[in-house]
Amino acid sequence: MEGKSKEREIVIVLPEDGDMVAIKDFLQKKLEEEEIDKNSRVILQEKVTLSGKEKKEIEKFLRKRAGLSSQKLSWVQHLAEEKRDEVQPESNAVGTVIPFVLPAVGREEPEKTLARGASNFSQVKEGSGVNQGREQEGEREMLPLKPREGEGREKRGLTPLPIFFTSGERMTVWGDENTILVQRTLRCGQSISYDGNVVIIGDVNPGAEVVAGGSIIVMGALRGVAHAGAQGDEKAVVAAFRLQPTQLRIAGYISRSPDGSTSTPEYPEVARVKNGGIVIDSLQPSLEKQLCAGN
Amino acid sequence: MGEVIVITSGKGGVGKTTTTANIGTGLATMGYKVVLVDTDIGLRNLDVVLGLENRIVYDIVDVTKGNCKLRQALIKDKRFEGLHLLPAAQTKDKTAVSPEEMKALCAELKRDFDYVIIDCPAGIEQGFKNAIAGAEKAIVVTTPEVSAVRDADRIIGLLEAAELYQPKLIINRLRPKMVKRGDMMSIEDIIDILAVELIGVVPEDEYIVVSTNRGEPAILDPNSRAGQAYRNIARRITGEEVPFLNLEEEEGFMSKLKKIIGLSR
Repeated sequence: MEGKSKEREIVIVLPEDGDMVAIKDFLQKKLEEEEIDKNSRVILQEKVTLSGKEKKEIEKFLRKRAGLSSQKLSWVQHLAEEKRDEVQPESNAVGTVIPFVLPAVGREEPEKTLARGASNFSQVKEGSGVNQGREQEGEREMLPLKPREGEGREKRGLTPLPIFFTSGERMTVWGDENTILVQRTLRCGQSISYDGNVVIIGDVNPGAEVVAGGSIIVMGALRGVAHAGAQGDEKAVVAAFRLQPTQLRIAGYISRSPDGSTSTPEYPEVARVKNGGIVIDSLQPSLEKQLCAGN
Repeated sequence: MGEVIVITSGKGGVGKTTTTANIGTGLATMGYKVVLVDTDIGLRNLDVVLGLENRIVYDIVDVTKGNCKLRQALIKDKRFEGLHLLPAAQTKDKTAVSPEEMKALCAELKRDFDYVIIDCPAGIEQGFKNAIAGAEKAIVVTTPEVSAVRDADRIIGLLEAAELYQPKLIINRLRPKMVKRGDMMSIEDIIDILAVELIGVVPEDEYIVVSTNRGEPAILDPNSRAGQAYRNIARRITGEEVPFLNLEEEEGFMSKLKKIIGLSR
C-alpha cells in the first residue's frame, strides 16, 4: 500500500450536553489535539441523539475547519457502559433502505429448488475471477473473501458500525471492517444488510432477511431469507447450523425450498453456487478445505 | 406501586381481549386491585366481554384530553370489588391518544392499582405503540397457527426494540388431539421459533364463546378447562409457581410439557 496517502481513523465522543457553541469549541480543541486534516476519517459518537440539522451544522463546521468532506465522516450512537442509549428509530417506515439489489443478470432461476447433496466436488471449476480482490487464481489458499480495496482496510481493530434495520430500528454492532457479528436473533420483519460478511449468533426467523456483500454464517437456525454475495460475488456461501431458509439467494441466483413439508437434516449445512445453481451440502470441514482450495 | 402489563399479539382474533378479561378477573378474585385498560380505540370489546358496556360514560380519550377525571372514567366491575375497567372510545380512532399521554396515564394508574393490564389492539401501528408506551412487562398471545406465530415473532422483535425485553408467552386455543395427530403446531414448535418463556397454555374451549356472549369471564366457571388455565396464568403472574395443566390424560403429552417447562426455566 505504498504511495497511498496514509489514513487515520479518529473516534470522537461528543459531549453529552452542551449547545452547538460548546460542541464546536470541543471539536476545535479535538481538531488541534488530534491533528485532524482532510485525510483523516472521523467517527463521531453521539451520546444524545442530535437532530439532522445539528449534524449538518457539525459536518459543515468540520469541513470548514479541517477540510473534511462529509464522506469521511460517520455517525454512530455512543454505547454507554451500563445502559445502551435509547436507540430511537429515525423513521418508522417499514422497508426504508436496502442498499443492495439483485444484480440484473439474465441467469436468475427462480424456479430452481434447492438440491441437497447433489455434489460432485471434482466438477467445481476454477475461480472465474468474480471477486476482484483475489490475487492469484487457483492459489491453494483458504481465502474465500479478501477485503475489498479501500480505505483503512489494513486496520484490524474493532470499530463500531451502525447497522440499520429496514424496519427503521437502528443498532450498533462491533466487528472489523469486512465482517460483522450480530449477537441476537433476527425476528420476523427485521433485516440486516452489510457490505461484507455477516455472522449471526442466533436464529434468523421466518420473515427476517439478511443481505450481505460477502458470505453469511448463522450459528442457529436460518429460516428466513438470506442473500449472500449481493453485489455479484458468486463465491459467497451461506452456512447455518440448521439451514431451513424460506429463500436463498447467492449473487444472481435464487432458489427456494421445495414445496410441501420436507424434513430437513439435523446438522450444519452450507449452500453455494455450483454448476449454475445453488447446491446445499452438509458442512464438512475437511471437504470445505478442498473446495476453498479448488476455488 | 403496581405493575403495568400489556397483552398483545400482532394478529387479530387470537384472544387478547378474552385473555385480558380472564387474567384481570383472576387477579381480582385473588384480592388484588386491578384495572383493565382497553386501548383498542374505535373497536372496543373489553367492556362487552366483561358485561360492563351499559355503564360507560367517559372513556380513555376523555381522560387523556382532560374532559373528565380519571376516577370518573373508571368503571367498577359488578362482581368484584377490586376490578376496574378504563374503556376505549368508540367514536374516535387510534390517533386520539399519544404514547406520551399513555405513559402519563399508566404512571397515574400504577399508583392506585396492583396490576394495570392493557389490552392492545391488533396490528403494529399507532394503537400498538400507544398500548406498549407505558408498559413494563408484556405478555404475547399466540395460537398454534403459522400466521399467528409469525406475527408474534414480529411483535416480540418490536417489543425488544421498545426495550420491553423477555415477554411471556401464552399459547391459546391449543387442541392436544390435533397436535398428537401432527395436524397442529406443538408447544415445542412454537417455543423453538419464538424462544421466549411460556407462562401458560390455554386449551380450546367452547365455553369461551358462551362466556364472551354472556359477558362473564370463563375463569369464573369452575368446569371450564380454559378457565382453569387462565386461573393458573393469573397465579403465575403474581409470582406463584404453578405446574402446567395436564391437557391430555396420556402420559406422553405431559412428559413433553414437562420438558418445555424445564427448557423455559
